[in-house]
Amino acid sequence: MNGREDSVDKARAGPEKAGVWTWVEDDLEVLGVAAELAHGLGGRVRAVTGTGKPERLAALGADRGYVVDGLDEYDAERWVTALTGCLGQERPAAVLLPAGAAGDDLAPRLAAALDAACVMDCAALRAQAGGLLVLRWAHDDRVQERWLAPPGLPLVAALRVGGRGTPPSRPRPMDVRRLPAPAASGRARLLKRLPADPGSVRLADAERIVAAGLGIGERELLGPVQELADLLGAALGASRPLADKGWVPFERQIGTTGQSVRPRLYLAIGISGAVQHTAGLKDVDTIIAINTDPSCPMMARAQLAVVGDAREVVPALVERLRAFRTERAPV
Amino acid sequence: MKIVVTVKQVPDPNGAQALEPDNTIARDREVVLDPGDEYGIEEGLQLKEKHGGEVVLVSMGPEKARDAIRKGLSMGADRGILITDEQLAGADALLTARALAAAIKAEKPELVICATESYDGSTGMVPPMLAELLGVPQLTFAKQVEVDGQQVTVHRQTEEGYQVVEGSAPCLVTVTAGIAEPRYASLKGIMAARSKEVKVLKLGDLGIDRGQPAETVESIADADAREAGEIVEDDGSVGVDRIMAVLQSAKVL
Ligand SMILES: Cc1cc2nc3c(=O)[nH]c(=O)nc-3n(C[C@H](O)[C@H](O)[C@H](O)COP(=O)(O)OP(=O)(O)OC[C@H]3O[C@@H](n4cnc5c(N)ncnc54)[C@H](O)[C@@H]3O)c2cc1C
Repeated sequence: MNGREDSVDKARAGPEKAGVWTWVEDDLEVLGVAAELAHGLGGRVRAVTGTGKPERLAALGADRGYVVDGLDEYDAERWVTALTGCLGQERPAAVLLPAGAAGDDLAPRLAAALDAACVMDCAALRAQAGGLLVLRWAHDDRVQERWLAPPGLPLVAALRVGGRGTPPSRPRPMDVRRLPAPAASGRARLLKRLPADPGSVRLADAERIVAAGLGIGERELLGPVQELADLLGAALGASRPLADKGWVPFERQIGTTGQSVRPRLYLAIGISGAVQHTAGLKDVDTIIAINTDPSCPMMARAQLAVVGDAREVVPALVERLRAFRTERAPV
Repeated sequence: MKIVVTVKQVPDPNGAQALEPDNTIARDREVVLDPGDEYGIEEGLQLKEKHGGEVVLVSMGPEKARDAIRKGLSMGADRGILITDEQLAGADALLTARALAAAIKAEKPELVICATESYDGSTGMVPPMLAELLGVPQLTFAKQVEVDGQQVTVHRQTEEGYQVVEGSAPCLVTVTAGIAEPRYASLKGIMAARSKEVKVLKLGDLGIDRGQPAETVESIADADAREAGEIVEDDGSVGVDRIMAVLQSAKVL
């Protein structure tokens, strides 16, 4: 603890400490953001990787790459040890990690180890007078918060990745340091990986989801809804009341007490869009809603809000899609 | 097995207005035990029922947060600890984790259970910070927890499916909603909770000071950079026409 406090003081008083560190595996997007931020700060980019290729790091703007040989399977304690080991005495301006099962697990732990500030679900970072400005998604992505991290204190940020595309090339000479991975903590071990159980995680992974709510009125309409999903290559989802009624298995429920989903397309049929439901919708590209009530929250959220009765719109849409498929079918 | 469950009092998620016009969580609403924490308490109680031991609830918050602890006690937890101090108002995640860690260390639990994230903050930062400060392994996003002696095995939810991860106690587990259906407090439980101990700790009792706030919120803006959607009245075909068009432009068809 004392050693850490010393280094905090040094960093606060010290001169140029504006480096930006990243942890990069196969997702290079975060490195692009780091390079951009370092540019704004006039600092250098350090990239730490276990399995990534150093050449690729150099091409995208890293000034120094740390290759931690043998650091493969994620383990929070081991990764914190590896990263703090690479950092040594350095107090960078920021450490950027990709958000996700590993990054979200690692970022706060690393922040505690470094006595650093921490922000999760980051959308963007910018250097400005008075510190680092961070935009983060909050409250189920309904709002963006602007956070200010003061200078002198490193900021650990878990950055949402996806959608920025491949970062621009910024080739530069990079020095590569190789170091052995620290021993596994042995206190947490990955025993095996299980595939997603078909009901639940397929929904979480689904690129397209057709979801039904109480507005479908009767259980019989689930047939056409399922057919609609099949025609669109979509997974079936539902609001909680349908799961409570036993019309769909619990794994199909989307929301705070169900699944979180990130589809590109979300077609919501007869769902009012209660907060507990929309909380499960993360980063959806296109929402289409069918509802009799034009003023409900789901309709307000939709790119296309169709005011109509599900009992009419769904069968009509199924028919149209069937016709569309037949026209397109090879003869 | 001695189990600590961290709990938090939050504005009632079922209140009509979830966000104030300035996009902060409405504070004057009814406050309740964070629904996410009910899963943690339930899991703790089930483990205690299987393996014996004690379930201790630890919360940081205003004096009023005692009600959240009380709710957990009426579900069946054994006792509570409330860290409350004016100096902790507006604490950031790391300070919160420090305060919790100091109180939990003194308890020497074998298992610490936290919700994956809180309803109002929804950053999920405190549990891994707490694990680091306690110096214990963290098993996060658990949708199933099993204990066998000192071995704690969880099914950890990831983007690809599940990982079966094993850790040795003492360790910290974060549980996802749906891990176990939280029980209702029985009348007997509610009565019993009245006489259960809730210890109050001040910052001074924990031997930590407030320190500098790390990150602070500057402002909050509507995420609605999204352009307003299109609304069509379906008259039998217009709705379906527009849906087909949007599906095509989104390259679904
Ligand atoms: C602690 C807690 C946790 C919760 N967790 C979840 C969760 O995980 N997931 C979840 O979904 N909910 C959850 N809920 C419930 C949530 O608050 C809502 O009650 C629920 O999402 C509403 O479901 P719905 O939209 O299907 O029904 P309703 O809100 O009843 O909406 C039905 C909609 O259908 C429309 N409609 C009616 N008739 C028609 C028609 N003929 N054609 C087209 N539209 C029609 C109506 O205009 C309305 O908008 C939770 C609640 C609590 C208290």
